[in-house]
Amino acid sequence: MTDDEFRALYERYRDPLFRFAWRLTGSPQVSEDIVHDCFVSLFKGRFDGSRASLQTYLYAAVRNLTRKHYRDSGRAFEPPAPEIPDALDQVVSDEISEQVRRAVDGLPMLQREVLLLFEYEDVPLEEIAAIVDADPGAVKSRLYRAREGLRKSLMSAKGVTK
Amino acid sequence: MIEPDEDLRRLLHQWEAPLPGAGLDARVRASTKRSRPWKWLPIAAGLSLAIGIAAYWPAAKKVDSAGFQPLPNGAITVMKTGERL
Repeated sequence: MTDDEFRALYERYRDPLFRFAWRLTGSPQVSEDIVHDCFVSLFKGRFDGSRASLQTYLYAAVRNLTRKHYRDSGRAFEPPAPEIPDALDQVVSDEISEQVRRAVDGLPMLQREVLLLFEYEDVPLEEIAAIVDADPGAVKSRLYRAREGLRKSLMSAKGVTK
Repeated sequence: MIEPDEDLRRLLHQWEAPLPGAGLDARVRASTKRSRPWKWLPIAAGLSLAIGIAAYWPAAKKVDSAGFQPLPNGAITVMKTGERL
């Protein structure tokens, strides 16, 4: 891979990978570390194109590095602590955003990662299956349960539905 | 096939993710800076050539002092061309 090819891949995948990591960890700093390590791994030639697509490899790397981060820090893979608002001028959209965040964070990890990839990053089910190393039926089931859980928690939340 | 749920999706997208900081680009650039060995190729070739030449260059002729006999003291005689002792 030439420098130009690597730079093009970095430009293309940096933001989606960061978003995925951020929604999993809730920490910009940790997410940057994860995305950094992910691209360094790619640069060192650890991607095997015969086994998976590049996108699958990158998302799987983020997922694995996120799990490793939690393992190394001695914490269970659990929802990040909610951020404390630093001002009183939180607007309604922030409230909705916060409710969505809490609802997504409240999902079990296996449902959460599938939901994030499907709903936010538009990754097809078959590819999600490869990323999370599960069969497509299991992924479909996790996504179904995640959406059901979110519908219940979000649609019933005051001020969110309408 | 999973049925799309546009209402739910719209709601989910109210939760926006930030963009990564500018420092990430610099970190990745620094970590993936390639060493370019070919940049040093002309210098390495020149050095190799110099070492090779030095190794095979014939050593400077040394003075062979075998059989040398110093002249006896005071026995120096200046002679013209063609003169005999």
